[in-house]
Amino acid sequence: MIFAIGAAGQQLKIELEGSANFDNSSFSVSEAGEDFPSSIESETSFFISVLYTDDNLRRNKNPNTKWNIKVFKTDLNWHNDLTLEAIRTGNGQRIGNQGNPNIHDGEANQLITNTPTYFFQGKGEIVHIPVSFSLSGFSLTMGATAYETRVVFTVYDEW
Amino acid sequence: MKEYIKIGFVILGLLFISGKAFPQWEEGEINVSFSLPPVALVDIEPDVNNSIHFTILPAAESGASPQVKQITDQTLWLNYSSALANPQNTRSIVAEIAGGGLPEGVSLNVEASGHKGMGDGEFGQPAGKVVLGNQPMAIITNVGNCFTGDGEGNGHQLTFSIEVADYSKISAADETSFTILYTLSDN
Repeated sequence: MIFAIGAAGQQLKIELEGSANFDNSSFSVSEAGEDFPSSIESETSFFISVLYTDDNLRRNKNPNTKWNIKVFKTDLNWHNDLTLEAIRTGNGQRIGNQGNPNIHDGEANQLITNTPTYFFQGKGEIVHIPVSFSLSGFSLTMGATAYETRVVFTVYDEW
Repeated sequence: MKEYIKIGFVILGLLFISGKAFPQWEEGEINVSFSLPPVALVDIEPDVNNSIHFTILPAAESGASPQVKQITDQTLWLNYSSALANPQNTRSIVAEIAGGGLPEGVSLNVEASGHKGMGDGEFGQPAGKVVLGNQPMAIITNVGNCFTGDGEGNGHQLTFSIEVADYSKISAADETSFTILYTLSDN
């Protein structure tokens, strides 16, 4: 009786660097009678890196592992009228291999909901992929309030 | 024995399938937060050339009363934007005569309409006809989180009216000008 376990372990990991801040001065009203501006962009980008969990082994054996990123949020204090979107603003850089990163999608605003939604995909290790957020739906009618949500990015081995 | 080998291959296959059937994943997360600030803005529209003029003419005949030319004016609109830190609180808009004064024997009244035009939220309520003086008087109350819309035709239309309160005090005078100050303040 021979047993062999052929389960595949997690090949990829995701790292986030930077922060997603909205400039408070953007929430301003220039003229009495008006509301806030319709939308604002985050003043800083943050960066997503997709790396192998076992660097040299995977990098040499299969440098072009397919992967995709999904995104969702978990609200801590939020308003139903608020809309948060993410957009990939660059391609990042490849590790090891020269050439342009093989990365697709995510260059149009992607609505972030409480359900995981496809964002973009790529092959192999790609680091420092810039992403920024866009916020809309806020209004004076909400009052002076602080809001917070946690955005989760998940990298999947694409089979 | 053959049976055990068959079972072994089946188990081997199931283990292989279970390890390969589901994609592997890992997560990273980032907090996104922001604060909407308190806002209190009020202005009069149109924002230029917004003077109103009243003229009191002398009596046409002896024994007759002075005549007020153009008793009312409805050309001005009040716009405001309001966001409060505490949703239980409200604000009022008060008006007062500043930088000058009315001629003796004359009173100036102002009455705000209900909200008209664009905007959204908890608009304030008119306080009725108010006699303007040197002390702030509320002309709109219970302003919540809202914006009235900007420009003429939006917000609260103001009706100014002038009355002769005491004819005995009316006398000839040169043109008199003064400013009306509007303030949006917490209650």
